[in-house]
Amino acid sequence: MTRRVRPLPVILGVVLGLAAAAVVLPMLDGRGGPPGLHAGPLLSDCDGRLRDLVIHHVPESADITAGVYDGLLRHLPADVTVHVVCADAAAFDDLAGRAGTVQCTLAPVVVGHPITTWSRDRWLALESAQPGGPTVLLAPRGEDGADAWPERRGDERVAADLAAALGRSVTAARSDLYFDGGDFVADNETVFVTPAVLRRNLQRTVETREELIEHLSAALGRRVVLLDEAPDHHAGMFMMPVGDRTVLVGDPAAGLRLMDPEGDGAADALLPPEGADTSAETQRRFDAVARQCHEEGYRVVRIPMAPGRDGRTYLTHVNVILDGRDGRRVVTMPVFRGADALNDAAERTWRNLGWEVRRVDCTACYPHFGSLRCLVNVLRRG
Amino acid sequence: MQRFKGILTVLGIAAGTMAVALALLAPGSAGAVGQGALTPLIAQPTLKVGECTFTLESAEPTDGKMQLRVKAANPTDKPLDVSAWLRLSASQKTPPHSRMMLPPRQVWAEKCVAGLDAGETKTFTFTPVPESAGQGPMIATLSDGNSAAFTVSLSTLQRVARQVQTAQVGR
Repeated sequence: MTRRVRPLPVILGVVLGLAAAAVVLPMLDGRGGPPGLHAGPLLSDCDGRLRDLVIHHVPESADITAGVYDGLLRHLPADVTVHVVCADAAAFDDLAGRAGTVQCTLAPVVVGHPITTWSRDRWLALESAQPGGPTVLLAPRGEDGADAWPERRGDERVAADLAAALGRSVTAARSDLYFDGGDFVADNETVFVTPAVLRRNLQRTVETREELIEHLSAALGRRVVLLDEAPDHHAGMFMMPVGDRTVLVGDPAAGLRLMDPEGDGAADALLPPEGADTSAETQRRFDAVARQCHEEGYRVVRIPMAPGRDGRTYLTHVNVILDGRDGRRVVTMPVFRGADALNDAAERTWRNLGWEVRRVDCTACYPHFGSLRCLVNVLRRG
Repeated sequence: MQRFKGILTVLGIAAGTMAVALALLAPGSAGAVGQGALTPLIAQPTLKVGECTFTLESAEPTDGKMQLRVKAANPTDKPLDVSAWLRLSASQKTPPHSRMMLPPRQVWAEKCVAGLDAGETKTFTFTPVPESAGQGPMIATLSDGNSAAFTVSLSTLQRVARQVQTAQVGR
């Protein structure tokens, strides 16, 4: 005996199913995470009060980081939590012992695998889509050098480690795109992206520049300005949005005038191994960033800076952590021993923009191609 | 009872249809972050210079020497004169605590100049002799000399070439 299939319930069911899918599909925004994952825009660098920071502590690298962390942690108020990613519990104890008494809360995230000390590049923090929702940590498709560098391979897992450790308040997703977190700086309107992101993705993950911008705009929820030309470094090494549609951009010529007023190569000693980069080409790239920001409707303020000829070692005062609280705007700014004139000029620039300046000595870390913001990632602002 | 069964049938079909539709149409191919890094989405990169397409095809070593082939194709119905630069860069050894890799240094470059008839394809073969030995992986860059460019590691090119060969043998 065969059962006859009546067509009406089948047609009705299919129509209902398609209608339901049409309602649900727009909610699956496909922003670099598993279907159903909701996220708000990329966290601004210059708006809101700091709530949760993430640093990595590797005792073997403490010569580089200890002074920076000491300076940072001393400045942080009691309502800030610093999540310390460590390979093991002993590493956290090492940091806690070095930090001594601080007002902020130090919380261990023990991951059980090797990591580098550089927290910033591992993920981008996307605000929660609705009040009380989770922050989304968007990790890149892969890390440069992970094949041959066990610590960098471990870095690829840190976003997931944090999500596992911090419960429902944080989720993690992996983007389709290759990037470093340091390739981006943002305010509450625009995210500025380095040309390196285009180089790493063109004809690998996207066909065209336009396709990359489309992907980034969807993933980051902000207007994307992909820099046409820029120094070959992370964005946070040469520029920083500071609010009020204003952006600080480095000026190597001004930096050199301060560090080497006699023109006798005095700056070279502070920029090993190849000395200061005084080339017209490098100056042109910094100027190109300033020009593009201006064309995008931003007020551009230049800040003296000293890049090295190796293309990586920078004396930069825009690699900062910004905090707005109780009507005050506070910048925690790196300073470098032996570069007093540059430090003082940078501090004046920040003060003129209405920021209260707290200095952190980054002398030990800048020869390793990064500074304060490179070591510290911001997970949440209030 | 019959009506209840009918409603259940409709709802069951609706749920199945919705599941299939979502599986097929849901955006976002990114996976959970816990899984390992993914391979590039575009296996064989191409560069468009005007209306011409350059493809970096292979980097299989021949007699112990590195060999690169660039295929230039003119898909239009008119002759075209186009050119592209092929460059090789060597990664530099990065100090252990560094935040990022040192910028790669260019060790070889050559210009491909092609006069292509309508619909014609030409292949250029290069056996580059780098100025100095690299300290790390080699990177090839194909560019139009201005802004359009892509970079790809030689190891990726070699992997693609092997995959293409395997696919051809399997046919």
